[in-house]
Amino acid sequence: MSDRKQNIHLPGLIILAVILFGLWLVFSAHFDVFHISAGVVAVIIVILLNYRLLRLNLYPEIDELNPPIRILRILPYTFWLIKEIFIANLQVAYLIIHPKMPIKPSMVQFTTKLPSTVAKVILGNSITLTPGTLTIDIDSDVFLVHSLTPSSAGSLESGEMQKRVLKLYGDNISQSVSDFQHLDNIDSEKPHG
Amino acid sequence: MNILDILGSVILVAGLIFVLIGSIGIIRFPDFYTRTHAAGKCDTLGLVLVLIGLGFHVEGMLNTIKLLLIAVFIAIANPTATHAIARAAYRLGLKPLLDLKSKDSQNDTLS
Repeated sequence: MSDRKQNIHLPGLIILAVILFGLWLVFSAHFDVFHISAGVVAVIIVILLNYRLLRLNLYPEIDELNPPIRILRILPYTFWLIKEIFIANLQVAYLIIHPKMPIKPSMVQFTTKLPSTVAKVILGNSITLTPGTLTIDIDSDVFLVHSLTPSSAGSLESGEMQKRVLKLYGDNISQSVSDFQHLDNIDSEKPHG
Repeated sequence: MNILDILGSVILVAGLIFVLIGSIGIIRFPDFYTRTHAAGKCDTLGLVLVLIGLGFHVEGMLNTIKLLLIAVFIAIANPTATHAIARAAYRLGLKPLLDLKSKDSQNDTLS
């Protein structure tokens, strides 16, 4: 267990405290002594409760380099994602309402080399948010995705979304998707527990 | 009734329609994973739209900001929870129903 722990660094803790306290101020909207001191106590309690969690390195096999995200590129990505979510949600709504329900579920698996855990979270959540696709498992660089229709799986095969996530981190994109395959027979016993 | 109120109401109703369709999807879809699709996504968009629509209606800028912040949190937390549920089911060995149509047609041709 001890090798999974990493040293907590103080700047991160302070940033967390400032964010939490800012949220408290926005949500309480009272700026008198009582509410502000209550906020300080609440922030301390939350950090103490989460302290053990923060010390856990959830991915011990990866040396967390955490390359910085290009802040300015988040906004275009967000707008593109919102557009995709709308289009795809309408597609799923159509599938649900359609009397014959023309779905054809399949499992696909692909490999995308992403620079950090945060990037994997962004891609995984983006896949889940755009309907028709649902991230089931991420095993180091291998994404396992359940898809409702062949077309939604095909959009992952083209690597459009992966490319955009990679662009958040830098420009040199060599290959966004590799080892793309449809899984016909799922052996559920195999995945590691 | 000004334009902002009308816009807010339109967004609110659109969100409610998505939540309704998502709920219908939970009932109509055939297996766990496909139902998770309906529950995890139509609901996310619907809920976010409802919150944005409410943001047009409440009084005060601060309340609007609060609602938008809640919408952002839901947009991040909901797909994460969906993924966690699907992953737990997968690791417990629940097999997804694959390729409904072709299996049906195979049975038809065999029989």
